[in-house]
Amino acid sequence: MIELRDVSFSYPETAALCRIDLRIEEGDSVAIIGPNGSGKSTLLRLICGLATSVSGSYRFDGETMTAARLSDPRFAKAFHRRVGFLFQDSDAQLFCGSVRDEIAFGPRQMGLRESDFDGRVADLVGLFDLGAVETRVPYHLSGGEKRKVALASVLALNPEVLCLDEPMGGLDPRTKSSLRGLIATLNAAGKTIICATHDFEYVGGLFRRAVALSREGRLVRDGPYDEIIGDRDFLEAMNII
Amino acid sequence: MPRGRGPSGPDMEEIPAWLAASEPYEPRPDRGRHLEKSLLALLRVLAALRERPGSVRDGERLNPAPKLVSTFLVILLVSLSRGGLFLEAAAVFELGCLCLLRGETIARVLRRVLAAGLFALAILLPAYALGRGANLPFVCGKVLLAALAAAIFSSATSWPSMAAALSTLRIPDVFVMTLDMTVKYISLLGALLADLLCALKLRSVGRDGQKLSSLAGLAGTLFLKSKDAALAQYQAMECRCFDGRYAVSGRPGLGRRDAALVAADLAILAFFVAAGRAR
Amino acid sequence: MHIPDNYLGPATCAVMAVAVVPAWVVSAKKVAKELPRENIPLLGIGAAFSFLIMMLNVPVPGGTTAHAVGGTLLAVLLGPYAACISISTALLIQALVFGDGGILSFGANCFNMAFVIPFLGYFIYKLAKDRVRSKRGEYLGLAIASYIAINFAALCGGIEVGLQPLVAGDAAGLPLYCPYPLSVSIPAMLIPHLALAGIAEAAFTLAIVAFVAKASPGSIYAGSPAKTKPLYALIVALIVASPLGLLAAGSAWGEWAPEAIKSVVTGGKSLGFVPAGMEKGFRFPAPMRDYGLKGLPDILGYILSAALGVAVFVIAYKLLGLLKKGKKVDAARAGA
Repeated sequence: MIELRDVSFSYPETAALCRIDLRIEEGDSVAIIGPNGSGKSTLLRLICGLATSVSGSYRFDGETMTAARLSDPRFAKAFHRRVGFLFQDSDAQLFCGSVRDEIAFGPRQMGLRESDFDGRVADLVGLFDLGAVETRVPYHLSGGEKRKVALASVLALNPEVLCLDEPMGGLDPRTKSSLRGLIATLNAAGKTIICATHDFEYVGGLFRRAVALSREGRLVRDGPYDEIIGDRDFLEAMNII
Repeated sequence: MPRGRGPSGPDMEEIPAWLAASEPYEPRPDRGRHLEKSLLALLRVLAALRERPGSVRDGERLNPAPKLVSTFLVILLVSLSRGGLFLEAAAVFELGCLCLLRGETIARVLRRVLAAGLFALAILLPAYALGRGANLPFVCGKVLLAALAAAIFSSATSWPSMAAALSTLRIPDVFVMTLDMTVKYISLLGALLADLLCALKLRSVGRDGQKLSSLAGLAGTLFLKSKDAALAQYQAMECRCFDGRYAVSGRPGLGRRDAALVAADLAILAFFVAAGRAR
Repeated sequence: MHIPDNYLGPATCAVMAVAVVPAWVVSAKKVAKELPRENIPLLGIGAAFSFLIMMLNVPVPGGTTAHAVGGTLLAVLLGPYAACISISTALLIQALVFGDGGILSFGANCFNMAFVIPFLGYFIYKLAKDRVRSKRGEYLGLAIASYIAINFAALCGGIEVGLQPLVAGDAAGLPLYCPYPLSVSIPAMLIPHLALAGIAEAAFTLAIVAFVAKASPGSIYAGSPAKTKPLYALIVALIVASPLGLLAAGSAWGEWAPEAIKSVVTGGKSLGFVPAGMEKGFRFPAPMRDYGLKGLPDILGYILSAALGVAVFVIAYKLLGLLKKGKKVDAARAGA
């Protein structure tokens, strides 16, 4: 479904990704690990179409993703509906006047039937236990509540692929645990999960596969999650633990 | 690709049926590319403010204060000039400065001057139709020369140097500090705004009937963040015993190059006076 | 609305810079007095916010976009004085670092965008808010205030630019700066703002203030107790209107110089002589006779006089305020 071939990306002052080859099948669950500055977020942004590689190719569901292709509004909208992205900083993702509006933003644009629209919003408010804060402005919620609202607003589009950038960052143990359960269920239901994470304690058993990036932005290892996370020498050498 | 065990565990949550099903979707057509335009302009600004670590801009070896004074002087004299003779001299002076810069800097400068030139043409050309086209090449020449001088200065001077220049010119500390803070927060808040624009774009998957209110939500969130940032900034300054004095780093001494620039300025001033007398 | 260099002559630039200095001085003083210490960084951060707002492409009905200045927005959120400082700072960064707006014309741009818009916009908004009790009315007032303020600023810009053919021509009468007369420059500036940018400004301001009011009502500027707003609106109107006096040909009724009175026509007959009292009467050697200075073109003299008049007025007002304060303190002491 997602195929990156020899993909490189650099910011004006630094190289971020160097010749990445990566294939992710539909329904896969992949953890992207690496030290700070290894390009984990950049890789996710590239997959979501927020950045375009300077070299190499990226194919999504057989379609080559170029800047030109993504500049077609109709194609871009259909693509963004299928690939959801959870920002590392929830403040960068929330901009509506109430939690309800935030969750309803996507479905409102999709032109759903009124009953479907109401049902969808109600389901997500219930799923994330946001009933008590439904009318509040997201900006003033706690970190954990903001993360839930952000994820709910992304799930409201019913994406097929979920790219999560450090979803556990700054959350308390109970919230981490329930988020873990939700991600597991979404993957079991067929959604592809790609997750950049530092937090190994709460994601055990969640991912089938791990992809390790080095400080220079190279893909150095790609294999079963348990095997890679179990290799402490490797993780220490990579400055991941 | 070898695969490990799939997700499992007793704490899996139940999800609604629609979330577990695939959904065919065809986006409804919508007009407008305001998000893309805003994002593009913003990213350009952020890139312009970003300094490459370890790299030195052209002209950084010059003391920034004489550079600023020189730029102001040239723009003023160009504005005051009433004849083509001085403009030619000014053009020689400015192009002489330009050719001392690196190629990529020259390209950046010329792009800006080209934009100023096209704008001037668009604004001033209709004057011909109104029978007021006399002297227009002269006016356009002045517009371009002023834009060129300003572009050379800003391309050859990093912001910290500009702040140092203002400080050297005895602008009060509190103003320089405010300016410095402005530039710093344009980068910080600008990055947040860029992310917000991306977030809005990612969720704009169909027809947005509330474009303005969505954008206003972004701006409102940015304001709230600004207020919080101001309080945090103040608290950080208090914790570091800020007492109102603001030291600006990067004040190089005066060297031979600066003397050469000052000499060139005096020459251009003398030429201006002479050209005025010659008329 | 940013005017680049060489569309305005240096004399106009100097005069507009002089005209905006009192606004800066008063704003700086007011901010130092009113703003709590922890909000001082907000001037710089507010400037960053103002800069970023000016970058956004705001969708307007019809499918096109426009840029908002956000002058009234900042005045409502931070107060007009802080808004003046913040917007001026943003304009300085735009001019120095990005070449948006000229360096010589910085004073004029600040006058239009950092003085006229926040003060006029805030004044009209306050006027509406104090008279209308409902939230709806307040927001309508806000929309109208921001629409009028940006259009008035556009008018000021149009006047500054349109005066150039009158103010600055070379020996042959050819234009040295912007060649368009007022009859062209004013509509050229006003029409896009009336039709597009003004609407973007009003709608955007309204939507953002509504958002912030809901999210964090305590963040909005509460207003200062003194009634100084009418003053600033008046100042703006006077400075702008003064050069228009030049457009009126001839002398105003009753203001004839002794020499001119000879030719005044009434009822089809001209006077034909100068009354003895006027010929031999009292003459006061005013320093700026006929609002002019020797060697300066008339129009410049007018504008300079206006700016000087404003400065004198502001100083007088502040002195009066000092006197008033003294009286209040005395009264309080007497009552204690």
